[in-house]
Amino acid sequence: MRFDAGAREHGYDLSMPRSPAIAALEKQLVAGFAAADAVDAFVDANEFPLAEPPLYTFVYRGHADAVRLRHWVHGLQTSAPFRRLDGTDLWCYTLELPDESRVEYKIEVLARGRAEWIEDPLNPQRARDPFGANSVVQARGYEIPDWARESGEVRHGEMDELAVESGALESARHVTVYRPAEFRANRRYPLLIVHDGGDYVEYAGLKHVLDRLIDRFEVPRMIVALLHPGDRMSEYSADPAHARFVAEELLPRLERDYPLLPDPESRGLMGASLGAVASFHAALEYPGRFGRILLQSGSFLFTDIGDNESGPVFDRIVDMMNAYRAAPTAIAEKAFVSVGVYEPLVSENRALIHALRRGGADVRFVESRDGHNWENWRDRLREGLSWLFPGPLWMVYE
Amino acid sequence: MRVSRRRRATDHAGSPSRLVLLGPRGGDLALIDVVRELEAGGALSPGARIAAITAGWRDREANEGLINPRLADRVVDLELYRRSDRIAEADAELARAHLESRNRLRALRRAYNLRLHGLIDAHRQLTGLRGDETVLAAEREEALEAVRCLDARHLDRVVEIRSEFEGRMAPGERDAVRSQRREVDARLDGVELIVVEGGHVSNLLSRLRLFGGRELLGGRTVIARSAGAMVLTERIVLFHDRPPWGEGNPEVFDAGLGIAEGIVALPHASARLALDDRTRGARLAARFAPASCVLLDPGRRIDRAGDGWSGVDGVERLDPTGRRVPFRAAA
Repeated sequence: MRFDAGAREHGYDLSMPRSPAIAALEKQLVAGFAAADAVDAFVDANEFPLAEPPLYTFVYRGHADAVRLRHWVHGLQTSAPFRRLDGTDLWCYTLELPDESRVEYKIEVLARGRAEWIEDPLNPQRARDPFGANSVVQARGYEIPDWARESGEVRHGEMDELAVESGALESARHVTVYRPAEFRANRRYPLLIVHDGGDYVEYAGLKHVLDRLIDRFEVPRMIVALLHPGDRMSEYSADPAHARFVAEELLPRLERDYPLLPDPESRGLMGASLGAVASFHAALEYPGRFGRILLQSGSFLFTDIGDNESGPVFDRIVDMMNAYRAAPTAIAEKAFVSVGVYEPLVSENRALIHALRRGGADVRFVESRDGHNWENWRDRLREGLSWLFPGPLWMVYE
Repeated sequence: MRVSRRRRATDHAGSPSRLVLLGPRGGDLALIDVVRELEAGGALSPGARIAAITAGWRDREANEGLINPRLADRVVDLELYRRSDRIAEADAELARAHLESRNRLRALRRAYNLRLHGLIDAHRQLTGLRGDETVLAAEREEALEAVRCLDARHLDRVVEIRSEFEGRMAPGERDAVRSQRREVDARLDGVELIVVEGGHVSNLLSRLRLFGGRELLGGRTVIARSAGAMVLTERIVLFHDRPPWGEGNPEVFDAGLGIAEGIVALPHASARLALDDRTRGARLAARFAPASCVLLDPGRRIDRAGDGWSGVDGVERLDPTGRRVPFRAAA
């Protein structure tokens, strides 16, 4: 991805990649076409961001003092100024995106001394998350996976709601349990425990993904326990009480209430961001209990030199990772790790891979051209789940 | 390194007089249409009784909702899956020996796939190599022959392990099995047609074997769908060109019952095979030649009456160049 660099004039970058379509519009304007009519025709005739691979042009129309692109791509300025086309109210910003990229963003509009972050009015593509929604640009080659979409043609699993008493956490915890289609009480199933399970369902379509992957025989029918955290920042940051809840309270309760396979290779933990940390930590604290672990964009902060400067919430995590990196152990037989190359945690996750392998885990690591967001995590679920829990795909021909 | 691919002993006892292989459900072809056609042609008596083998559906076995309701009053399900569970409950020694045998087969399959990956990768690279064709053509042929050799050796090993289990445990002579077989025989009384449904090919094959294999079919007319068609062939080939992980190299799984001779059954071909990849298609066709790789998509069908196969309504096979051609051209 190449953003503007070099000389700046009037607050924006003259070396920004030039969109051929924008250049053509500017020619019309110079030639004396009525500006408003030309811009109207341009906006009506195109979809935005304007895709001219590898160039993508973000466009905003309206009166403003300045317009900026706001994004979360690590290593780049998070604010990139749009350029206003002379004599118009059309603002644009062009950047180069590698194929298969997916970038979430907002547009910042500054007017009358106020700055407002808005979703792109000209782009219908949205990604939701617990904080609201972002606009999305999808570069050439990126497609929402078909297996992530809800389908009326597949057999659907069902959800149970449980209240699990926890002495470790000193309160009852709400847990949602996914039972696969055609569940039979006289069969035994693998178990996957998912941190932030409610968010995975809401923002990463986890139930649809499970329904589809099971229906396609790419993963086996499985029981999936979806956790809903209390004080997430505390519980998911290598908290021994949370690990005790998962291994000593939740797991026995699920084994009592559901027909689960008894071996570690049929038990997995999964999570994203701090949820990945919580998964890693529970597996580390209870070696041999969970044979499969799926970690997405984990906040695996460590310090080789100096102290943690990321804030006190990460102190326990840094201590855990420093100790683990010094003496890695086999926390799970198989681990799947994914991270987006546009997020700041990419180097921490790359470092984790080496430690996991030194500890003896069989590791698959996938990087994607995406960021720290739920749709990135959704898009990696097929690879992760089918590798940790391979289904009878090769055997079933109905 | 030419390896003669042994033709397995063909025991015509139990060979059906008429055999119809179907692709998966879907398309315009319904089971009832085939049954009516067989009745009209005299292969079946009007209103003949039908036995269904649905062990491939596992937990959903004998689910009447999956059998055409217009045939339901004529169909008796043999319930081989449920019966095998009962046998396992009644005969722990047999169940344990079967599990051990299965674990050996799994280990063998893992090793075979490791070796297969290397050999197919070599052939793939040679196929893409440009240079002196007088040299490369022979190298490619040898690379493919190495794959065929491994396939043949693997199949022999699978049969050996299974035969060792069957020879040692003699399932057919054990009380729990004989008791269930008697009940199956009773259900088969007066049955003219056996329908072998698809599903899990390994589960289906092991249940068919437990209940006598081709003798179970007893010379009756047979309609077999999808995995049901696969288990009736001489050599079961598992395939998926676009799995979530791995190269998706087709693999030889086991010997089938050997009733459907000269073909490799490929159900869901359009969904599971990269049919636009001629190189893959050509390798698949050449690897299993002289058997025909038959593309059994939903609604497709091939028939055998007497010694010859015939394709019906546009069914296709892969030719040696990986192209799709009408199946009847191979007959």
